[in-house]
Amino acid sequence: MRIRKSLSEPGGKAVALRAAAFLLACLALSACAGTPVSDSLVASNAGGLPREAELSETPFFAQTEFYCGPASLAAALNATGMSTTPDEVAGQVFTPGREGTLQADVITATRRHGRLAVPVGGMADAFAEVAAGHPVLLLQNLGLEMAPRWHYALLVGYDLDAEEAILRSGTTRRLVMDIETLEHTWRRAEFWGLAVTPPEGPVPPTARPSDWLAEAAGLERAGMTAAAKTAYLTATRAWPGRSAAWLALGNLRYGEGDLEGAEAALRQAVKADGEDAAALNNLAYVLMKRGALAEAEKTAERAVALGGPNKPAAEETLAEIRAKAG
Amino acid sequence: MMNTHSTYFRALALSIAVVFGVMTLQASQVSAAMIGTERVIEQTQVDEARATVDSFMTREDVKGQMESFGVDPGEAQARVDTLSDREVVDLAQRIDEAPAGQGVVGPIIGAAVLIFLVLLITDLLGFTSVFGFTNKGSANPG
Repeated sequence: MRIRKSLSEPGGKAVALRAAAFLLACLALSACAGTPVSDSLVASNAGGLPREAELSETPFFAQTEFYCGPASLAAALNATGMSTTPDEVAGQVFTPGREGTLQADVITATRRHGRLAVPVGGMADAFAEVAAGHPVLLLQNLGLEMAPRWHYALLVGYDLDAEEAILRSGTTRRLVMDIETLEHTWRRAEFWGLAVTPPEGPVPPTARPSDWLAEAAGLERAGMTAAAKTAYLTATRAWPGRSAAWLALGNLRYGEGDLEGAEAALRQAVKADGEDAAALNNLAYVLMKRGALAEAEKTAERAVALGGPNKPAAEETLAEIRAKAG
Repeated sequence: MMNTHSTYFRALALSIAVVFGVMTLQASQVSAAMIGTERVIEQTQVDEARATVDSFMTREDVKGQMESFGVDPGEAQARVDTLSDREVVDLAQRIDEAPAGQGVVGPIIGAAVLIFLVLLITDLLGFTSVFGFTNKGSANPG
């Protein structure tokens, strides 16, 4: 409130802005010490979040030395109906030279198990995921920013009235942590977290369509083709008005030489969004490959007419179709 | 000795040329065909980032904060609209990481919005350069 008062006094814009910048620097410093998200969640019913939730069925593996990454990931994978162990995933994620597990390795190991590593970045989203039945694998810095002590744990519950978070952590099956401590330690790791999700869903409620698709494409790269297809189809049901998942599925089928399946998926993409130039371009290309030159040309013309970043590609497609048609 | 060397370098140069030639060929084949999934996902990310920034900028509390700093929300929006794709993705990520982007409501939001907003707006208006990614003074304008 003091801020507003000082700014409403007459004076140049530059002065006001400079004052504001200074105040903000102070605020920024104090924000590092505070826990605004926890405070707000405890105080209000933001976004209809239940006051408490706990996934008590989530499995637990007590970590051995340095193995918090494999232990947490194995538990998260098993929570999605798999049957693995920390020792088994350790080979894929543990980096002995660093006596720990790199975040990128957690993501790739998740994909190699045919699961999606859907990013969850923040307290409110993490609690929303837990309330929806998704434990959140997160990275904490239990030390200081200058002397970090990195630790992976699995968030499985919270109680806003008791101001507590419940974690599978280290050698403790049910670690009760002050919600503010969680916010502090997680912020020091830039709120790095993920929901390990099977390709058939359910889709984590806070997931962005692009994150889900990027993970599905990651499955494709990891050679988990069947899982990738399932994940794309799951996205088409979760976000029916969007074309990108159909487009990705069409591309995958095209890459497999399944032209008929590719055409079907790309038609769905165009049906979902008739102004998706990439979908129109790819449909035109597949139609050409299937010999339907007249429809291919019409479709490519639509793609070119839309302009945008995909116009050059659409123009090339159109030129190729016309060259074929003679 | 010299001869051996020059033969060796010629062979090396030739093989590099062949490798690059093949790579170029592959690249051009890709561009003339299907638009890849990775590119589609990138475009989806950009669209989502623009939506995040737009919805943030049009929030009543955010607009109120801007006006209290003498910043015209319309002008600020016009400037945000000129950010490049990469800049918008960066900006949206900052919004998500800030308490305001994590669903914080109530009085605390004032402080959280202010931190973000003033850094952005003053930089856009040319008063500070805390954000290195706005168009002002960019090495690659446009």
